[in-house]
Amino acid sequence: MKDPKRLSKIISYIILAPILAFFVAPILWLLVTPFSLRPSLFISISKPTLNNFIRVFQNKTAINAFKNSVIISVGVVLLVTICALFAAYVLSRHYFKGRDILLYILVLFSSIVTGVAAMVPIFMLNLRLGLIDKELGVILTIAGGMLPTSIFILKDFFDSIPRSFEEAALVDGSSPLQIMFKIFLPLSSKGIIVIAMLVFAQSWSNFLIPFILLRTHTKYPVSIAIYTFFTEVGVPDIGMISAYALLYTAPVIVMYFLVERKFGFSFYGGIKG
Amino acid sequence: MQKKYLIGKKAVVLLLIPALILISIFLIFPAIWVLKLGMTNETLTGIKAREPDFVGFENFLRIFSDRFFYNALRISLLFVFGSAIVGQAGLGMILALLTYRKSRRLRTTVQSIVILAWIIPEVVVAYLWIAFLDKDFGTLNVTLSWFGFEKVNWFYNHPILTIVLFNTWRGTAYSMLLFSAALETIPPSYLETADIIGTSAWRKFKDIVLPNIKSYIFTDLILITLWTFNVFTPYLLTGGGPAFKTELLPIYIYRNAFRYFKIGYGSAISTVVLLINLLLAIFYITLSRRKRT
Amino acid sequence: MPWVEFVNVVKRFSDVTAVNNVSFSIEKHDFFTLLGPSGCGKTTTLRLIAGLEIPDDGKIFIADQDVTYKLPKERNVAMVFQNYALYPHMTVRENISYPLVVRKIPKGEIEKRVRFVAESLQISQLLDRYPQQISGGQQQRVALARAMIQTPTVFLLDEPLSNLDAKLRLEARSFLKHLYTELGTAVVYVTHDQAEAMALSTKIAVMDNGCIKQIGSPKEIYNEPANIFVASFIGNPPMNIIPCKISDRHFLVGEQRLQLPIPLTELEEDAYLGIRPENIQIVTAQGDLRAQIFVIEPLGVETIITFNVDSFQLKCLAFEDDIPYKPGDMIWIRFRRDKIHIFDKDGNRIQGSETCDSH
Repeated sequence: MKDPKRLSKIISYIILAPILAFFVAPILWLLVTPFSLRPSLFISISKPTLNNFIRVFQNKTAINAFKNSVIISVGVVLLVTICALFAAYVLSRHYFKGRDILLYILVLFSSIVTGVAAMVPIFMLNLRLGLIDKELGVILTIAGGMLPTSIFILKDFFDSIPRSFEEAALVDGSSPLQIMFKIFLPLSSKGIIVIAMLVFAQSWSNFLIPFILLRTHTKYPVSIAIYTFFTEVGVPDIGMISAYALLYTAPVIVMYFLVERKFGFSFYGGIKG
Repeated sequence: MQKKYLIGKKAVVLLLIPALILISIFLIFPAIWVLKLGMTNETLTGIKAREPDFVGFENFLRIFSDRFFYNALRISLLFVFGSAIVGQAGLGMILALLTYRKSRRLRTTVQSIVILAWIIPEVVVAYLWIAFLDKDFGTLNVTLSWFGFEKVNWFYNHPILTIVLFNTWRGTAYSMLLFSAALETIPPSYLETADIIGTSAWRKFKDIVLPNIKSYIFTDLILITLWTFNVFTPYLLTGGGPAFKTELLPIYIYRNAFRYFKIGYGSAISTVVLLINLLLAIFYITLSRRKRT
Repeated sequence: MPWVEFVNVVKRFSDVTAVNNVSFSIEKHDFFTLLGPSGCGKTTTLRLIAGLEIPDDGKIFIADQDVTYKLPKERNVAMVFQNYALYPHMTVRENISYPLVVRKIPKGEIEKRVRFVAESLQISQLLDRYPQQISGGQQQRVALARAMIQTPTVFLLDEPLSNLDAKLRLEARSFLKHLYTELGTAVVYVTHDQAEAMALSTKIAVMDNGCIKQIGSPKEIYNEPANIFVASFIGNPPMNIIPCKISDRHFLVGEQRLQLPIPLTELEEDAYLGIRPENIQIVTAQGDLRAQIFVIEPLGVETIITFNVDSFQLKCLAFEDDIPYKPGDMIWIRFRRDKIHIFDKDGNRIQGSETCDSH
């Protein structure tokens, strides 16, 4: 039996293979090297060891940076999730004059003002506010940048929840607070959790904002710590850096795949930009 | 439509205010303030740090005769064209087409791998590529040498190609996902009709697929252009070197403001980048509004 | 005093007037149906009763109380939404008892009433499931149960059958009619399906464009439609409406002259003649009009025959087993004299037009 589809299948595999190899190769190194006895820049497989991870946990700078990253990310997550939840609820459930203009301004500024394009005024603003070299400055700056997108995603999510749930509760005799806590929040909890995870992943990964706003080594989050590890003078400790990088990357990947399982890829796209 | 009971006027204001304050101070204000900063000769150190002078459009005029600016602009344009429009959109389209109407497992596998490159924190990604491209021990050169190729010093001999390849690898996921989603919106009956008529694969792509996902492609191109224009990660790979050969506009801003402490001049270049962003954003918003109506 | 009363109620949404000066009254024993095409203002009217919308003008009374500006929970109404609005994070039991929980009724009492309502709606076995685990028909009953548990003054039902498939809908309709006799209070029902309205209601208000076109019992609406809109909205297939000219006290339909002496004197030249499909007969002798058969659709019990009269297309319902015609045949048709409706050129029915029988 001849299957005309088989040929096209084989052709597509032949094209796919080198492309996938291109994507896999750099990542493979990250997965293999931390467990290697003699780590090098080449992907070399040897008897697995946890030695590199042990050295990470013995490194005070590395551990301290983890703590700083957690402080910054948790701060951003709390701030963004709560503010975005409030704002998105109002924008989804209440029409007021100027709402569409407000949304337009938010879309416009959130897409043009990137941390990269505005790094100079962002730095100067933090300088004038006395927030240079303070975690608070990093938290507020990242939060301000991520808020509009988070609001849009949450608003879209809220818009997809039929109003009739709240209206039914209203007719059934609920007070506004009961509607909020017994009906609306349970219905939208999925969306809120997703936003919180995405915001966490993004602020956890952020490099530029702490890079320009922080000066003291003990305040560096992991992103800056890794950068100083591989740019500092002398022979870099490849084993430790790769183990550290893997530990740093793991939560992002875990959160991402949790979100993906719940909502598919589309959700991530919105906030990534 | 007014829903009086769900929230009152006072509550509306109270709920909106925290978000609006944060956004106004940390997002909108810097974008406007940068204009004023760009009209001063403010520096981070020295006497001008305390009492900067107003210099009007002097900084902006200087940009036009600054060969480093033109260098950065040229590299940024090459970078956007090579890594975003050719690299990410092209490779994204190829991947979307190759996984279209294929088994779920194949698609999930391909997408997961490409997405990994997209979500790994940028500092880690930079280090992975430094290792990958290392002249003597990097995976790429070692693999190439097995096939008899000579080892290449990628960062030194092909600096622009290097960051273009890197950014293609980094960002293809978005285009691939968008195009995959776009392909899903084509009713299967369109392609099945073509199958019955006996249309060739290329004609199916040109006559049925392309016209149906045109608007997605525009959206994708504008967005990835905007994003790629605002990418800072190559700095972690090359620091802008060698000899300014990978100095993108964002890196040039960084050098002026944070290496030479020229806040005024850095702000002027920032303003230019923000204006380019503004053009792209207006283009994008108009397009997506038209699509909606 | 009426049980529910609307007095000149107006509701606008920015530049659209959804409800335009609507007045009606409902008695305590009424099954009152708001019937009309989508966008006619029927759902807005229902939401005004519930208190989910506040009128821009006019007054609303429920059980002798002015509730125009009252909150929904102060009106003691129960509502079933078109999509049922069953909370997906609560079990069926929690959904049904929710209205009592927020009103802080004692637990034992709630338990008793849930059991009673669940039994009378035959959903006792579903109480511990979640809404997404039960069928559409069951969801509809759960939504009814959540409404019934409240002993409200009025039940408000917003197209509760429209999400069910055709077979289930008929079943649910019968059940609803049976249930109504047990409720013992007024029901306000919104639908766009005229058959539902006819089958269930004691009183129907036909709405179009924010206005009530006619209020009456199903019989009145069917037999004496106030205007062309009502006439052509009710009945399946709907009433045939034929534009015609009146001259010399006779009707001119296209080229043909309809021998129909008219007792009415004040008639203008242009008018419309309305006749329901079941009131047209195909006759072998000379009838009223000459027609050519266009298509024949047998439906089992009845057969729909469509034919052309000059440039008009009419439908007739025949109940014979064998129709001895085929498309293309020229035939004579006859209108039942006591079933003819005459509408003036503005579409309003001329009272007493069905008495223009001459033979």
